Amino acid sequence: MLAVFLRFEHQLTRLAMLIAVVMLAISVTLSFYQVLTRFVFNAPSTWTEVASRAAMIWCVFMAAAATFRGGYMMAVEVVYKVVPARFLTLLEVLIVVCCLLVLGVLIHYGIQMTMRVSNQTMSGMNISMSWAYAAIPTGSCFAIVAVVARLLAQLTGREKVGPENSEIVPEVETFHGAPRPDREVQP
Amino acid sequence: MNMVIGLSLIILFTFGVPIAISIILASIIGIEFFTRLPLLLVPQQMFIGIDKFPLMAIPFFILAGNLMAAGGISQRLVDLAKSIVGRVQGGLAMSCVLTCMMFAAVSGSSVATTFAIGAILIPAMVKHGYPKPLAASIQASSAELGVLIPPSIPLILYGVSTDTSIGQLFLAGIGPGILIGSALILFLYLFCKVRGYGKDDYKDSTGFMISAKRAWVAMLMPVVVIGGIYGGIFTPTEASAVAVFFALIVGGFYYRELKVDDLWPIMRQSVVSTAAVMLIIAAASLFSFLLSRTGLPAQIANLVTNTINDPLMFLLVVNALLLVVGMFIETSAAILVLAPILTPIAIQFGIHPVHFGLVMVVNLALGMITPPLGVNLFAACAVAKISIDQMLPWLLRFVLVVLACLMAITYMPWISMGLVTAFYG
Repeated sequence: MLAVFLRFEHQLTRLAMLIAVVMLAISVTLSFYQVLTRFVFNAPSTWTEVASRAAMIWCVFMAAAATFRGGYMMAVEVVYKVVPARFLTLLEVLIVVCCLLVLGVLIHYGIQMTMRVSNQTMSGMNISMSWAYAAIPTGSCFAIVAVVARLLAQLTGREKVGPENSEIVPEVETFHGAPRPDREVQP
Repeated sequence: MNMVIGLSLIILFTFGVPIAISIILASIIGIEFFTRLPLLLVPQQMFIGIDKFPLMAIPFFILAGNLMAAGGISQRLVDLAKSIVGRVQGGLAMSCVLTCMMFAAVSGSSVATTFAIGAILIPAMVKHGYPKPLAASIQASSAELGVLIPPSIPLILYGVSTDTSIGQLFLAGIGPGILIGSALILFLYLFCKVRGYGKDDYKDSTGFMISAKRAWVAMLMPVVVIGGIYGGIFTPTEASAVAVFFALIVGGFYYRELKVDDLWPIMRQSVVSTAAVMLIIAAASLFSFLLSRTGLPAQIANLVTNTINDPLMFLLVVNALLLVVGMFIETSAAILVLAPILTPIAIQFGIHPVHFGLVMVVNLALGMITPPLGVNLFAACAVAKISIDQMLPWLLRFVLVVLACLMAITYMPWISMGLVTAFYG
């Protein structure tokens, strides 16, 4: 049962990550395009800045799930060194309760906020503001699943309890850790 | 109400609740129990907090830095630095500082700098007989320059949260960056002479012309970014987007080390770092909105201006406070929460906000190499595969060097403001 849930969550978080990556790509491309329109085409575009901001907001909230799941949310981690090991699980449960509370508020009031701004449009574009605000409840839903999955995996001993060094993604280690010294440096 | 918010924030922080979640939860408690404001404010203020064009320079510079690191720039910069300072005793250690200064000019984060440069130079230093913890300490402390020399993520954050010009802040970061870099190089030169490290460092340095030829395209990036901003061609955010495409083209087509397969891990990693920082920004903007409603910043300002009447004294107190804060709290989070409160007070004392920003960032950046929470230490330990305790005795020297520079930057405003006044008059 748990294995099925964890597999389901894995796919869900991957999906959220994919959306976040695409949104970052869109956002950076639009900002670059904005420079082009001004200097190359000599016709500054009016909508790119707004659209690229909206894409960035989607990127941030969709990436929240993976950030929670991997334990890359920045935290003050001294407590893990002070608290005896047997209380660590209790501590994790406590942290997860806090996260769930906040994510719950974000979903509930995020949806209300999204409805509320439905008749405002983004400046320069004929699109409702709701499309941007919807990132908050949507991202929080993905994040809730990820937070619960992380806790369950830790409680059942599938994953280690404790902090990850913030900002350091394991992938980065292998990825930057071996910067292909064997490859020839070409001029 | 202020007491309750403050207390809950401290309690949540110490229990290891993620910083972003702690700030939001403390704000929720404040809104729900102490005001008549609706909780609808929570998503609204968070949205407004990150719906800002200047902020988007952060993810873009993160991405550009990661692309540059994977695109084969690190090794070239290391070679270039070695060819400049590598010929004397201790040259390798000095190259580490110099490479970090150059890498800082293409990347806005110091953790990225530690990984990219440390992966090459820590093993090299160990091979040349430097003790491992010393090599890791050198790397961790020189990577601190990553947040001073523009582009710099903490400086962008300071600019956005206090309405200070990011262009001016970037310009002001150059002086302190060079000061700390030279101080570290000088210190390492003397240290290696006295302790006898790095006697055979001259062996692997290549000729300056050869390595300059290999690295010049990469070093064009800071020229494009800085030149573009000051030439009025684009805003810092647009500059960061240009930097992303520049890194992509240089790494992919010129150096040909960036492969299509590399893009997914790079994007993933950039997105995760982005979310971690931006969610704190969103939370902090909710928090500062709530604080300004309660008038707490004005109260603190009153209290401070009534007890301290000398700007020099004020700077000393702020520095002491930030040093302690920096030990426990991550740089970005500390800037977001403290800058909006402290900067108005600094202005009342007649301190220029750009100068004050540099003092804050240099000070909090020192927190990256002070335990218990120092992101550079974690990164350097991960690269060198040692534990933080082994580094501590070596690290103290470097902390003291940077601390001396911090004092100089604090009390000699021209170090940071010189270029700004020369440029903006």
